[in-house]
Amino acid sequence: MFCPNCGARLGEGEIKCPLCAQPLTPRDPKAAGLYPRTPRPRIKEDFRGLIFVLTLLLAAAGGMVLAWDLVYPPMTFAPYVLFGLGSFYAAFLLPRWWRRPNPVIFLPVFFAVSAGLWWYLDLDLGWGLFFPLILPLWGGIMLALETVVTLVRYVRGGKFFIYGGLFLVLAALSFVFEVLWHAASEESLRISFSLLPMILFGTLGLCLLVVGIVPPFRRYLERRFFV
Amino acid sequence: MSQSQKRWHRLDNAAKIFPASMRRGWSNVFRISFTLTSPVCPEALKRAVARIAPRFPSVCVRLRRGLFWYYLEENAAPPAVVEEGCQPLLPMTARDVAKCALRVLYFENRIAVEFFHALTDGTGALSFVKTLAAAYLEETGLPVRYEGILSPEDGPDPAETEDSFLRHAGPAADKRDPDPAFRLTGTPEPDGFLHVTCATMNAADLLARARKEGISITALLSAFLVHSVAQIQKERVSPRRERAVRVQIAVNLRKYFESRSLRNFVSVFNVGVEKGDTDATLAELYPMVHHQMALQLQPRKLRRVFTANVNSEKGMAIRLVPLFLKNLVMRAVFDTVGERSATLCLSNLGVVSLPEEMERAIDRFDFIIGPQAKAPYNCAVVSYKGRLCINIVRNTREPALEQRFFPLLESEGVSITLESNER
Repeated sequence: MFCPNCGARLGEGEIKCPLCAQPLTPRDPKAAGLYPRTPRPRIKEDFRGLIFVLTLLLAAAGGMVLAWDLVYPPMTFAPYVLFGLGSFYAAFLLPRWWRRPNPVIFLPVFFAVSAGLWWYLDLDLGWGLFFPLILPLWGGIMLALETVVTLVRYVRGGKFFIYGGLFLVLAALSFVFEVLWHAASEESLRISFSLLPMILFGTLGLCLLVVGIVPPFRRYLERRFFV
Repeated sequence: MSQSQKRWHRLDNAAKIFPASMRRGWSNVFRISFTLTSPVCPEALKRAVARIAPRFPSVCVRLRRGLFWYYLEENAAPPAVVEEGCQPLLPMTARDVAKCALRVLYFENRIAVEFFHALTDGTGALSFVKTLAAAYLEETGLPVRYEGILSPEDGPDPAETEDSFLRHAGPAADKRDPDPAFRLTGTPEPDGFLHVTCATMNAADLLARARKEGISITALLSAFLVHSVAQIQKERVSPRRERAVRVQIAVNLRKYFESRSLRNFVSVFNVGVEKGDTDATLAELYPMVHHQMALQLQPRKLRRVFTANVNSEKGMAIRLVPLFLKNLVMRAVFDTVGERSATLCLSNLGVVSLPEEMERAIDRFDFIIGPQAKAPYNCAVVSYKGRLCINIVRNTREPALEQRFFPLLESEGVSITLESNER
């Protein structure tokens, strides 16, 4: 038979033209085609045994440090180790218990545990900056990344807009950080150290938005830089 | 067979790179299949495989790790016979090749064998497949004459398991050409699906077209591929950033050096156009490719090419390095140099000939090589009973090369029929 779109001569069992992707009705429905059309099986890789062993090792290490601090008070070292190990575990090992971990769920878990590390650091060193400065900033970064991860996972296309938007939010966050920093240290508002990241992130974000908005420019860049 | 009786072999010189370069989702695998006039009987196929396995001690093997090198160990049991479930040439994982480094598959009327390239090359694999076909037909009750086919009743010949590279290596070696060629790119299939597009045509038509230009079929197809790839490059890349377009051609060294080995005895060389000449017309390409091939296909030139590989294996410093370090280095070399000198590979297995009674029972032969590790395409050719099959594989969505190469064949007066596994 012939493809009605591109005119290629095809075998009798073809369901789609291999040259122009035109869907076809096979002339001989019993013809099986060249190969079975069942999907490729997923390769099962089970690392749960290894993760279990690593979990036990981390728990043992954390438990030993905690016991040491309980036997020889005051407790100073154990919370650092526990929150540090917890952050590492939440970032790298916890998602591995699932075959297809969803980053939309695990990213907030990591940020919550690592916020605990910041909180204890603030308490231990007596900064008093956790609620006025660190929590809003850490929460802002988490919200921005969570939004990007969710959009990338559930929305098709629009990557230039998503990543461009992320860079613009990071530019805004660097400004917010400076404002909160001056407010926490009771200084007058001025823009100094946040200027460079604002310019850098802002320029990157705007460039990505322009590339997303102007398709001919995007094609030119693809040709030029072989993307 | 007891554990102590199992025979083992060192990997041949060409095979050493294949285990080191395999990774998750890619391994160097190729496949030869034949299609019968009647549906396959799995039980007869199992009996045939069990009968011929001892005849091929260097093929029915598994890959094992030593302290300094990989080696091949004979399998106690014959290879398993499995019904083909999905796409061809699924990558073989390290766990797969540690059990058995080849697969015997059947689907409706077709029997296929997929080989990990460390075992053998196309010619060695074809000898195995021919014997399998003969043994299968015998098991189904068809009397077969073993003319030009290795008989399973004969014992294995030590000459068939030799590393012919070592025997034929010379004193002088060629330097390798590191200049990178244009790479075809595309959107990767998310599930790793491998598209196979097969063009069948009258071999006499293609031969007549090649003879008209005074060149071989391989040279003609190489010229068509180079021309098609050059057109794609012209569309995608600015002239300032263009690269050479080269096709890597596999050459069976048994034609040039005495060898009965069933292991790898194959070399490769590149033909094509260099940067700045990629606008060459087909009429200009025919003599260019023809003369490049003639220059490369000199026994002395071929010897210098594989002597370079043999020399690198013989160095004492390399031999004393533990396997895991060798793997790191070999993989880094493969990733940076191995595939970058050519855009894709063209492997022509040539004409498959069988005794008359087998030809009546077997309709068709196919030969497919897997895609490259970092480039999506490869191309394999085989001819049987006057029909020539060109199988192009790709692991990306866009059929960019097929859209240019196959219409080019038609426009040059070669009538083709396309079959594919498009879904």
